[in-house]
Parts: sequence; structure tokens; C-alpha cells
Amino acid sequence: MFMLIKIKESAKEKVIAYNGRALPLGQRSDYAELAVIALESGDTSLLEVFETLPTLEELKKQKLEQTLPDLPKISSSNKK
Amino acid sequence: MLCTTLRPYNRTCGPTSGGVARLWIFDADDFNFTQAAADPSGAKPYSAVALRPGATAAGGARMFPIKFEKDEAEYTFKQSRKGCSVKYEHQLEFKLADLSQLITNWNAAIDAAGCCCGIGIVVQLNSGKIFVAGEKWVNSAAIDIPLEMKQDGSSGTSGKLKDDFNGETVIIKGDHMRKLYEYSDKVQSIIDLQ
Repeated sequence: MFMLIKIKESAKEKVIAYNGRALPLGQRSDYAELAVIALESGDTSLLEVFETLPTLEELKKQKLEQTLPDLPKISSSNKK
Repeated sequence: MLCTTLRPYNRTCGPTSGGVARLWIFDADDFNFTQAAADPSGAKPYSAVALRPGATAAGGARMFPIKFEKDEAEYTFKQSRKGCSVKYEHQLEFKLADLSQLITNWNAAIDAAGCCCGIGIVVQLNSGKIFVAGEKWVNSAAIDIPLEMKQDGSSGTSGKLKDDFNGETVIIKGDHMRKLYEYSDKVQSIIDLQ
């Protein structure tokens, strides 16, 4: 179970240019991308917008699992 | 290896293009750029940019686009050294059409910025690459030695004939100890800050 990424209420009007847009954070949902940027840079002005923030390793693992295709399950009855 | 760490220049083969596509100026104290920590391949490009505390779009903290004459903008640099001291002379040159009060006021603002704090510049090349010059804040801290870009050497003309160029050739330049860093995000994120 991954830790959720949550933005502080007080930061929802903050405008940050990343991941192709610069919109108030309250109008975005791509917080995982911002979290990676924040953790890789250690930029305090980005880190402080998060109420909860997973580790960089958790974020990268989460992203990898989201990009992997769902493989069909192999039924045990098909075994010979 | 025993003295210094060299790197290959192993760009993936493919076409590129010359010229400048877009240009913005900004107050270098208004924006903080975000940069991941350097790794063995060297410094990383900027990956995000945001207004600094106290700077608001409503108050005038914006990326100001420059509508230059098409195909009349160029970014150049020249490297030189004396002993171990290395210098990069960065320069942006572009043409603005039509001598007018508008261009007079634009120059007054640029000259004041150059005198007081330097001019921040974002330039998108026709290759698609975006570069930043004159930035002062990175990862929420002041850059040790910033590049101060200033207007210096611009010229203008009314022309003589009806089809002569009427306008200004702007030169903004500054000396630094390194080349410019790239901004790796898509250009739309800069356009959104206009």
C-alpha cells in the first residue's frame, strides 16, 4: 500500500510550472510528478506544499507499477 | 581520470534546427527555478519554475514575451580564458519593428532592470530546446554568482527607403563562468506564466 500524496490546503492557489503546465495546484492532479521533482531537488519551496509525501523510492516504484501492462493470470488448472 | 573527469559528447544522431522560436524576459527576483542534484553525468537542467514569495502575477511578476521580427533573433556565446579563469560571453540579439513610444518605454524598463537587478531571459530555440539566462534563484536559494544580463550595444534606425527596416536591433548580454542551463519542461508551462 502506497502513501498518498496530499497537497496542503494553503498551497492550492500556488502556481508552479512543471509537467507541461503552470496552473494553480488546486486545479491539477499530477502531484506525483511534482513530488519527484521536489524530492530530487530538495527545493524547500516545493517540499513545503505537500502535507504527506512518500519517499522517492516509493514514488518510482509506484510509477513503474502503473506503467507495467497487466499480464493475464495463468490458471493452475492449465498446468500439465 | 587520474587528473580530471572527462565526459563523452554522444548525442543521439538526428536532425536539429537553427534560430530562435520564442523569447521571454522576466524579473530575475520574481522566479525560483528547480534543479535536481547533479549526478555523474553533470548538472541537471531546470525541471520546474514558480513565483517566489511576495511575487504575484497580478502585481506584474510574469514571463513577458518579446515579439521580435521573424527569423531575426539569435543567441550566441563566446568562451575565453586567461590561465584557469574561464569566461562565457552570452548574447541575445533580436530586431523589434517600428520606432515608437512603445519601444521607448520598453527600453526604459529594460535599462532600469539592467542597472538594478539584471534581466532574466528564457529563450526557446527552433531545435525545441529552452535555455535560461540571468536567473538568480534556484532551489529556493540565491545563486552564488549570478549571470547579470543587461542591454548593451543596441541600435536603431528609421531606414531611408519605404522598404528599409524601421526599428531597433536589441542586444542583451552578460558574462558568466559557465554555459546556460536548459529548462527541460514543455514550453507551455512558460507560456502559462505570461
